[in-house]
Amino acid sequence: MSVRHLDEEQVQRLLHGEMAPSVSASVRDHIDVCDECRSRVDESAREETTVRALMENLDHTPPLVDVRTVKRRTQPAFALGRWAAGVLLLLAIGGVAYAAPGLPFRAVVERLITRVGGRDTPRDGQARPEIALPPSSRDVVQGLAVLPGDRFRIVFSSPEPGAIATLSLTDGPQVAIRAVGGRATFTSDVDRVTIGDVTGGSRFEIDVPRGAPRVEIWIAGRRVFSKSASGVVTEGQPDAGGAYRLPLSSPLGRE
Amino acid sequence: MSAIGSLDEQVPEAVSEHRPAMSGEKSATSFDDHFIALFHARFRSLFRFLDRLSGEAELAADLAQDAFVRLHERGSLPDKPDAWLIAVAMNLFRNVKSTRARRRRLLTVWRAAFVVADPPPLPSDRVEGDAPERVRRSMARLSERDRQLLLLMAEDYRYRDIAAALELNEASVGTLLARAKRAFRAAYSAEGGTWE
Repeated sequence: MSVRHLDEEQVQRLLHGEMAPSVSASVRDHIDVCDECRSRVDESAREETTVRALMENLDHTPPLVDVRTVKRRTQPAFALGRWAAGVLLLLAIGGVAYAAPGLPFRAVVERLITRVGGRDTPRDGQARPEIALPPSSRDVVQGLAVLPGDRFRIVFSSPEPGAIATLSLTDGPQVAIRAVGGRATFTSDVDRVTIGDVTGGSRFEIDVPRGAPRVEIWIAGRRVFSKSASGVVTEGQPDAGGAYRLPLSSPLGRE
Repeated sequence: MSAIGSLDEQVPEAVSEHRPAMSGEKSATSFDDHFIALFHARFRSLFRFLDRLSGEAELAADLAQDAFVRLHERGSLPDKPDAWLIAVAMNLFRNVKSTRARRRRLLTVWRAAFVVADPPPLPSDRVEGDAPERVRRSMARLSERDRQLLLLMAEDYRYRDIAAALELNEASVGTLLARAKRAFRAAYSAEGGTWE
């Protein structure tokens, strides 16, 4: 029976026992009579033996892990202990950062305390200049500001009927997100902020730095806004001030 | 694929399939049995893959355990458990790398102001001829995909699992493996290794 020479995929599948049963017999028949293909298979087998042997140079002794240990880690008591340890660690890091000379953390905390507690008079008795806040800041209930990486995503985990996001391009370095007149939960991760549990018909004000390489907004798995070096892509139209209004109830964008 | 976000979101669609509800004592027992069998069959292999990928045995042990913890928390087996575990482990590894990179960026200024030490050795001062180091440098020359392909092949994962974990077309896994092996051979030779 005449069979074409084996291609690269077939040679590898033959080596790894991944050949489809329907062609396996004919391929093996061909190998028996074709010196060229047999030679290629042998050469590939030698190459693979060498690769596997060299990989072993990277190995360390595997740990002795009992499956019961792994299962125990999913129990609530372990998770609680881990949370407690995490909180303690954060407190310790915060304390060190507050006490360390030269770090801006102490000044930030003191400014925050002053703002929240209304303690406006400094120790020298002179009035501090009032800090200029955005017009809507009196209504701000929650918000955060983060430095965007190469690609930053703001994700609304579900459509929010009645909620509106107003996006402004700014010259600042940070992406700032403010929930105004309502409540929401913010979960930050590397290059991502997830917003959920929106209540009270929240309005969101989002500042996007012009200099950020890429910032996207997603609602329930759909991208509704994208800002990159090539410009802004969204179906929302900018208003006279250049701000984009995006309804969060029905995604506008594309997959 | 993003390296962040919830775990299910990171797992390729092909392996984040349905989640049958676990109901009744029988199902729960069955999952537990499967989980234990899978752990015994695949823990070492997953550890070795991560160890070779990261070069850090301790990290690899943690990540391999974490992947199995996630599977146990899930409460049911995915359609392709091997591929699921690989995908989860790789996502965890990517998260660790991202966190480290961010920490390095934040600490650079602080460290630069206070650390006074000898500069690292120049490449020409490195000790040559160390086989593990040469293999590691050769691997570092490969693309991430080639590296992962070779390491999964070395652990005898099936093509369908490799394809699902790396989001590849299963029909071309063999061809990609052949190319990865050739690339490794070239990289190893470039690092002064002798191919037998």
